[in-house]
Amino acid sequence: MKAYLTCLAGLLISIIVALSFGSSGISLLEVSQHLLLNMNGGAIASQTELSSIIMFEIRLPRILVAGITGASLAAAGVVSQGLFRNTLASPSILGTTSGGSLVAASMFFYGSAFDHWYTLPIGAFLGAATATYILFLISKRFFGLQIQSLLLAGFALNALLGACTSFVISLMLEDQQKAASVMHWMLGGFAARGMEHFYMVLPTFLIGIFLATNITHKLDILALGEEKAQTLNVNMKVLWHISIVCIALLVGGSVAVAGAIPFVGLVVPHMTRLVFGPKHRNLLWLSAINGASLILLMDLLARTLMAPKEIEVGVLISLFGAPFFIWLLLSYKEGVRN
Amino acid sequence: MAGDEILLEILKETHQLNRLVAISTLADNDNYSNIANEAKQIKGRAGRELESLINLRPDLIFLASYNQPAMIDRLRKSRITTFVLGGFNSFDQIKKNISDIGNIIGAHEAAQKIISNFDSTLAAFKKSAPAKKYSLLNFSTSSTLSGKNTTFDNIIEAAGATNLANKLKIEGWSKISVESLSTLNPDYIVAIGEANQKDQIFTQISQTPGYRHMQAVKNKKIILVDGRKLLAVSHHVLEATAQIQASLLEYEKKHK
Amino acid sequence: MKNFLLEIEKLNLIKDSISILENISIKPLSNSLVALIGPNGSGKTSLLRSIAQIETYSGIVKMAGTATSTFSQAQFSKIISWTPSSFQLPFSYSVLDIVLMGRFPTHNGRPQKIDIDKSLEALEQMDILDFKDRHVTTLSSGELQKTMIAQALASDAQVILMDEPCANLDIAASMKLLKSLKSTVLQNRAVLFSIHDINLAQRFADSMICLSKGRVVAQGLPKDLLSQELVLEVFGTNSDWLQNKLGEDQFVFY
Repeated sequence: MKAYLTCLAGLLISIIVALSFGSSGISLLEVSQHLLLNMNGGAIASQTELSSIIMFEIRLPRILVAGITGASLAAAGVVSQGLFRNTLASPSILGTTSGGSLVAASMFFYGSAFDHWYTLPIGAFLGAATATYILFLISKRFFGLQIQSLLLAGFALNALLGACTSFVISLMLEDQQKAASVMHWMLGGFAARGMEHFYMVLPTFLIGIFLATNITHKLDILALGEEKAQTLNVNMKVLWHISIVCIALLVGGSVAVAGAIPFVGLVVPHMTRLVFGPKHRNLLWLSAINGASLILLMDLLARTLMAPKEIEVGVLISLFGAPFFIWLLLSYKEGVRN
Repeated sequence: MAGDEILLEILKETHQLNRLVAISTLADNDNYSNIANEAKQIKGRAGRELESLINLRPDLIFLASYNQPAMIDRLRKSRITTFVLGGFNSFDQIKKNISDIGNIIGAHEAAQKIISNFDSTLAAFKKSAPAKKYSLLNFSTSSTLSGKNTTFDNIIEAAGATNLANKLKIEGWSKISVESLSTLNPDYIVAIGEANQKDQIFTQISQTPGYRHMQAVKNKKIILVDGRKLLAVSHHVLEATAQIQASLLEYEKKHK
Repeated sequence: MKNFLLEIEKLNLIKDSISILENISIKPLSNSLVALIGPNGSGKTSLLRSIAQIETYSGIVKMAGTATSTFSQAQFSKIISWTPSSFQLPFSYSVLDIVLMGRFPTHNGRPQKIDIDKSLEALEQMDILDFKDRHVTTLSSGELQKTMIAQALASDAQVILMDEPCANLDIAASMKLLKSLKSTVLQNRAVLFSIHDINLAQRFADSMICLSKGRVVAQGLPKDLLSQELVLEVFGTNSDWLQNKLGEDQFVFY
């Protein structure tokens, strides 16, 4: 289909561009010429070895993590917008991101974030998953799994977790270094990410998107309304459960390795739907592809614009997010006038 | 900054400044850096962005302790020898960092020289200490006091005074309530600032809750210290002690 | 023994301790167009929702001779179609896509030729075949209503429930719709729809059911059911049967 070709082409270009550029100036061509370099274990002997190291230890893993994170967030966005029947829903509605942030902040405070590379990601993921689960339980217990109630409970939970996170951060403000570390993490980014992060987020992405693919047709029917969908043989309970697990996995995995990256889950599905249509089967995969492309390009800017400093990817995305909303507002006004 | 300042000092000593391939981007900022001028001699700059860091092809990187493990892993997997410095919350920790750095770069003697200078400066401070042991308290707009296990604590003690924050048994830095703060009555308040900002800072302190009713404020007993020295994480920290002791002695002389 | 398409026995609906529907029993319906009338709040919407199993009721509802409580959700969804009185479509699907959704219980997201053919047929029946590629978000309320009705007609359902299908339609469109529904019931279907325009209802419906305050007040042929006394009691207005120039019976209010 034309849409897939277009988006995949975009992704391919993004990958090539991302692989080709970096603050060290190592080019893809350079590296590919020495792809089968046989490396010995000692110190870096030559410029070629250096190029290979930069490419395969620093740049490529980072690109892989960035791509899969972008895809995860966009896919989660598609599921949330489908579940809530709202083109402005964001997967962070379910408290996943704020749950991960709270645990991450706490781990910085207690210092366990500095123990091993995996303590922070695992903690963040567990925080994300737990928050979503708690939300789910509360909605089920008190409001009977109605979508409206899930939405409101989500707002409440986000507010609560946000407040707790602010509190934990405030405890760290005296320790400037800890405070800085937390801020870096919360703005979201891919500095120092390696293949281990990629392997960590890969299963959550694969399972999440597999589950999401299975519910795409039902999400289409859900657009008619919950009750109508029910009469058309969509089991709302099952759809609920699967959607929430999906979102928890996709967002949780991404928060674990990249921190709290904003907007992607909202903007990418929204724009993809505008251009390529609302059918969820296509929307899911096209959004995932576009999400990957977007994050790859943003990350390229993040690591090259102000090198040797790193700009957090989350910051760049927020800078783009604001104009997006303004554009949305203007086009809405345009639509209303028409 | 600890690594930068210490390395610079040691390599100056051994006349091997060209070995210092890069320093952190913060080194150029003369609000925080004690080596802002000398930094101009060092070509490379290092930040969190790893490609540019590795591209410098350093034989050795010194990382601060608070960097994330992922960064350390990445550098080691890139076969760059990485040494993680210890903390810098006390004179002893600073001296250990100097010693470690010196040993690792093969400049043991230069490092030991810096350390013995450090110790002899401390001894000199002891000799010239003011007659009375005054009590000092740090000024903070957010009522965050520096207690035990901070360089501030060591700085004050070395100057021959006592850190009043210890009365509240504070460990490290701690934000305390305004009520607790107002129970303290130090002889002098230590604030960060330049001499020409004295009036501004005094106005600020006299408007800050918790501090404004202190005797020291009424008697205008404020000691200003260069922030770069007071917050230094290297041997430069002794210059703060010097400034504080000098101010104390001056006040003492005036009110004889 | 002929299996009736829809039978209801002693259906009760209580929500928040309020009795919405009381002891509703409906004479078995075969393929016929049945109009559900009654004042606002009489329970028409609730009855349709209950039959569609959106509300949890007590009582027995049978379709094609079998109690609906024994059907699985999959079986039930193939036998019944329910169209609400209003809809909010958040995404801009095409009209054809929306109509195809009506056959979801059959195709599960993978429409075959037969699904597309039946959908196009339904669009033609509702006179909106030209709209098939238009986005639903660009439709007027009347056009959207026709789309949702076409969605119901496209399905294989034998019992079709519609809550005020004429709500957003002008007179000509309403008459056309009811004619359409009349022909659809010939394909072994029962269509139960609520409506406020009683005259329109009596012209086209095979039978009528009148509700008042949650109870069935009358069920039968329009001629037999619509009397001055009933209308006065239920609606509180005067009415009468008149004949138009063509000799057709009209039921009017005054």
